[in-house]
Amino acid sequence: MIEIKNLEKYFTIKAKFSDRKIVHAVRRASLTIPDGGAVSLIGESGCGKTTIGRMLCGMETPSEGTIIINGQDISKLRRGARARLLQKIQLIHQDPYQALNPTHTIQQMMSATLKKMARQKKKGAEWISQRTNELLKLVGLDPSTILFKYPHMLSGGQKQRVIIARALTVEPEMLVADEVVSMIDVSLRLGILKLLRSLREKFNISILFITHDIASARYLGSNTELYVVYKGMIIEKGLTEQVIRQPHHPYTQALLSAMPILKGIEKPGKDRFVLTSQFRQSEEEQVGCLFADRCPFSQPICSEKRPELISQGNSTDAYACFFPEIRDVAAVSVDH
Amino acid sequence: MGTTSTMKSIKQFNPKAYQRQSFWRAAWKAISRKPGRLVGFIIIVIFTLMAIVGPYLFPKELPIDPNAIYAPLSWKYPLGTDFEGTSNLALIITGARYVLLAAALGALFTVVFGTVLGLVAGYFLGWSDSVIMRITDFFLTVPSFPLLVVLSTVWNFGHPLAMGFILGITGWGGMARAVRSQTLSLRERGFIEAARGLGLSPFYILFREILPNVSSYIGMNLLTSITGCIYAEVGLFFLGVVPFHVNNWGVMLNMAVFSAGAMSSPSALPYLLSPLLALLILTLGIVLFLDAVDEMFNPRLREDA
Repeated sequence: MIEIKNLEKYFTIKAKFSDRKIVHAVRRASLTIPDGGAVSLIGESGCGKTTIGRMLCGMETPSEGTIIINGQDISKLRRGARARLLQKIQLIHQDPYQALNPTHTIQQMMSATLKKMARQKKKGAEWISQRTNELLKLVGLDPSTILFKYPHMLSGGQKQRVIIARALTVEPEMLVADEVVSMIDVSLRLGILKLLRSLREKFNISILFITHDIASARYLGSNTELYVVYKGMIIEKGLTEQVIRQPHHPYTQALLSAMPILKGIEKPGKDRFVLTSQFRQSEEEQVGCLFADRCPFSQPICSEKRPELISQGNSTDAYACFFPEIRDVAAVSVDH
Repeated sequence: MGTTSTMKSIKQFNPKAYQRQSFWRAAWKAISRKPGRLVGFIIIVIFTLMAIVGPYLFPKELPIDPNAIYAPLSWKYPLGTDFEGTSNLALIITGARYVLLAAALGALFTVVFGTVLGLVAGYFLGWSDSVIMRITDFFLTVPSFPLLVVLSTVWNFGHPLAMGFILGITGWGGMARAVRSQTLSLRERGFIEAARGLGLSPFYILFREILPNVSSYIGMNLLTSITGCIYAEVGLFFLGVVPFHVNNWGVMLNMAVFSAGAMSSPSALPYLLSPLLALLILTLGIVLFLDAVDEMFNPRLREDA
């Protein structure tokens, strides 16, 4: 069980000599991922979703807020203990072409961490090779053909599978999948998504799925939650299906409207709208709603006060908008 | 023709073709692919053998022949003779050990020192980077040749180890800077971050993840700094600033120019040209061999084309 509370992240950018610019990348993000659960973060590029994932893996240090893994606050732990705990959370990189050392064979990569695990478990070399084969088979690769290959001999999808297998060597409890399918050939995407889903179902590994593609978030299996992030703030959350069918926040609706439809098979929802203005990183801090300048439904109050993320009744749904309204934007099948 | 190409493609699709390949086999493949590389390799091997077994082939005191002073090229004296009538070829062969051993030690020292310090500075950054880089800057600004001249007055360069040490200590600065800058770009790559996330030790990351990625650069530097070291030491001996106890190529050049007057008397010319020829051939061998280094260390280039 992983809990994130009021996480904040500022990045300082050196502009000129002593001039510093501060970018507020994550604003008071809170989320909970149960054991074996799946949470998707969606939002456009630069919205801070990757930063949340990286903070969770310990690649970045939060400016404020707490990350609690299995009841332990990681900022309060000593270095060694924190490293051991953070090893349970493995990051799967967006770019499989970068995440494998070009000078190592697959076998070398797998055995690097397995050797360490073998030492902890007091197992021998036999265990290492057996486990390598086992994990490669698990992710759908044939060990005998792939073991001594170099990364450049593999396809993007195979690379991503190797990366997942390598992450599994340390027996993680959670995978942070950062845009795992965005760089992979379209025809192979579904395979990777199904793999993540089966890992979740078979081994109870929880998944934080970071994406800008709502459609792929639906493949993670049942009982998944969807968090919509805009400019570092979670603006809507809820069960994935619920959010897709009944989006309340205009930004969520804009994201759903932007999904391409299969013409002739599907037709766009009747309230579909397209944002015309671009995402801007404003110089001064905005006072009102972060989305107010792009929102087609904004009212004067929206740029004066910022709406909080408020849960609705007893459901898991929550959204940060003064004028929530369910709009019918998702595609529907033609024959309905 | 058709059958051979089909055979080749069948061989390529055979999964057994992706068996583990040892570094040495891959290296031999890279070398033997092009005749130029092979020639370079053979030249290097010949010179290495010369340095190892050369001195044992001749008596400790090379025979002198008063009747054949500055003898022209002949079957008996393939490269002529010197002022005592000693065969130039024998001088070259016996002199190779000092020159090559000192150069190899110097280059090894340069590369090991430069690589380790560059890797550590580039990966850990922070104070270790500042300290290492200031020391590097210091060594880079020390003018190496005058330093060698000064040191030679106080140090006995009779043993190649001393010479190699001095050559190395003045040479590693540039290497450290170059390796550091390569490390800086590699450390931001995804696979280094992944290794860190997997909990691998900094030692593993430095020497197993980053080092293989800069190894072709290091290998090339090793070879080029061998030639650099040879020129530096031969230059020292040629200038006569280092007292010579041993026979070597630099001493031969010095004697040829300053004692035998090879610049003006054509009869002494073989004495001058034979060490120059040795230097030229060795440099040529190294340059030809350099071509293979990239392929030896980079698995991407290693594939059967």
